[in-house]
Parts: sequence; structure tokens; C-alpha cells
Amino acid sequence: MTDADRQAEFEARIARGEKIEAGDWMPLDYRQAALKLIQMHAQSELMGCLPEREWIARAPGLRRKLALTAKVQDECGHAQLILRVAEDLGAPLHRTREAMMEDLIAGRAKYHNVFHYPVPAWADVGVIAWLVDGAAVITQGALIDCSYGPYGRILERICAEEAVHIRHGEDIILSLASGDASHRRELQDALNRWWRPLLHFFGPPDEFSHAAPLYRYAMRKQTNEELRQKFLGRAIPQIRAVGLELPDPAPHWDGQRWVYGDPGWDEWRAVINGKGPKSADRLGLRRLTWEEGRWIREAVSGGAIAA
Amino acid sequence: MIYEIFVKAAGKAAEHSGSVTAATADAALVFAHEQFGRRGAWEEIWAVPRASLAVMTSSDTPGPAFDRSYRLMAGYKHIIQKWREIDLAGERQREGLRR
Ligand SMILES: [Fe+2]
Ligand SMILES: [Fe+2]
Repeated sequence: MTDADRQAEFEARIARGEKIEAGDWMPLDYRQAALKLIQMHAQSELMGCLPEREWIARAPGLRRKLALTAKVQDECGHAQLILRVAEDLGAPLHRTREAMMEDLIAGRAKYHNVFHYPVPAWADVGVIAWLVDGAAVITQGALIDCSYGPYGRILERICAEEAVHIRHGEDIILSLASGDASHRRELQDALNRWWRPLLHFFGPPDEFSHAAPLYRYAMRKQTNEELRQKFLGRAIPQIRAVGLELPDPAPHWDGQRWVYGDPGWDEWRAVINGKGPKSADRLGLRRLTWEEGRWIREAVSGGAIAA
Repeated sequence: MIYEIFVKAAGKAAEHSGSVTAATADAALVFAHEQFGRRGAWEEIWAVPRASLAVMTSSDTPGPAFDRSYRLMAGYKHIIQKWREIDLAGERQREGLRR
């Protein structure tokens, strides 16, 4: 079988809606594009632990401390599950987990824009779980049906846990919304802070061509804009029902789609390239724990990991 | 030797299907194919010597020392009630009408 035959057979499998498994032959551009997406997801889960962990000790009451700890543990678990999938996919390219982690702490890897921002108030913790996890579950839910079987299957389990995270967020924001004026003010301020990063979260609307192999190989089936529209359709009635104002300029329905103000894509680009307000701090902490945890990795791996 | 058999359908995770007794791994796969694969619809069959399985049981681990319902959807039933109280469904409907 020549490579051209293999490529044709692979494309036919994709066209039939078949799932690709770790040991299957796959074209290099599929492996690379899928690995890039999956690695970015894994590292986002890992970096996503950090903003919320800042509030574990300050969360009001034992139950909220425990619930937040459990959420952070889940996110860390998501990173572990996805890194395992990425390792298998990256093995023929000699992309080990260590190499991926080294890329992350050296600032060479990308992770979601939202984890580059500060979490100044308790209300932000609620808004993150409610809307950031709400946005994440839309992206991840759309990927369950992707062509790479091991990733789709692990996402089913992850999305089930994300659903609990969203409830946990709703619990926090609904409590604040039924509080006094200062609680509602704190909640509105948090929503205003997160609104632009949330619009950024799905990426610019014109990225279709940029991510071409992902679409061609059915890794992705919905565009950034389709996902953002789905998010807006879900979030906006909730925001109104809670009695919050839609952040300025308020999106409106033009008969076909939600029209929102230009969120400023330069900011998004700078942030995902490590120039966000908390990028350096968070990566610094990740680097520190990576270095301080080296002896633990060596101990549990029986020395299999190079120092 | 006892082999535990896992059958993987296309696009799905492998599932434990049962076990067979066989002298070698190859023989285990032949038997497993007869037992669990003869109606087609499988992509891979895995045979794992039972002796190779590391097993733990839930009674070996300490149960939760306190209420951990915050880890479960069931722990947030009151949220569904709260959304009802502030009429999210009505808001969704009005949103639809505005369209
Ligand atoms: Fe997660
Ligand atoms: Fe989450």
C-alpha cells in the first residue's frame, strides 16, 4: 500500500464517520492538528486549576471550600486524562508528556485565554464556574463526536463532570443574586469583567481556514462563531433571569444571530501569547510546582522519568 | 490459565465481556472469538491473564467521611428549583418571542 492509498483509505474512513483509534495509521497533518488541539485542551485544564485554587481558603463556609476543592481536583484529573490521550497520539512524533510540560512552563504552549485573568472577588469564582465552564462544555460537547475515538470517549466523562461544575457555579451566583445590593453589585462587576474574555474564549470568527485540517478530518464540525452563538443563546436568558444587566454593549438578536460589540481581538491574541494580566504569575507557579514536584514524579515512576 | 476478555466495538471503549480458560494467549483469543465475537460487530478482542489484573474493591477503601453531594448532580437539585423561582423558562420564552 502506498502512502497515497493509505491517505485515500483514511479519508474514506473519515467520510464514513468512522472513529480513528490510537494505533491506526493516520496522515501526519491529522496527527499534528489533533495533537495540537488536544494538548491545548489538556494544558488549559491544568492551568484552569490555578485561578480557582486561589479562592479555596477564602471560599465562604466549609461546604463551598470543599466544593471548590473538588472542582479543582476534577480539572486536574481532566488534564491527566487528556494528557494520556495526547501522549499516545504524540508518541510517533516523540512528543512525550515531559516535552509537553516543558513547553508549557517555558511559555511555548498555548492555553485558554480565560486562565490568564485575575480572580479579584468571590463572585468571579461563581461566574467562572457558571459561564467559563458553561462555555467550555459547549466546545467540549461539540468535540465528543470528533473523529479521534480516544479523545471523544474521554470527553463524555469530562462533560459529565463539567455539568456538575456549572451547577456549583449557579449555586454561587444565585446565592449572590438573592443577597443584598452589595452582593448583586459584586456579581454584576464580575460578569462585566468576564464578558469580554468569554466572547474571546471561542476564538475569532474567521479562523475556519486557519484550522482547516481539523474540519477536513472531522475533528471539528462547528466553527468558532457557531459555538459562540450557541453560548450566547444559552447564557443571555440566564443572565436576564438572574436580574443582571448584559455588559455594555449589550448583544442583540438581529433576526438570525446574536450581534455583539467587537471584543477586541488584539487583546485576545496578546493574552493567549502569554501577555495576559496573570500569565507570568500563573506560569511561574506552574514552573515552581513542576520543579518542586520532580522528586515525586521520580519516586512514583520508579526512576523511569529522566531528571 | 484464565483470561479476562474485553471486546471493543468500532468507535467505542472496550468492555469486559467475560472470561475463558486457555493454555496460551493465542488460544484464549480463539476461544474468545468463538464466544464473544461470532456475531460480528467487533473491532478488537483483548485477552488479559486474570493473574495480570491489579484489582481493588470499594470495601478496601475508606468511604466518604462526610457528605460529598457537592460532587454530584443530585447535590444541586435546589438549583433547578431556584431557576424555576426566578422563571428562567419564562425568560427563555420571552427571548424566543423577541426573535
Ligand atoms: Fe475541566
Ligand atoms: Fe470544569
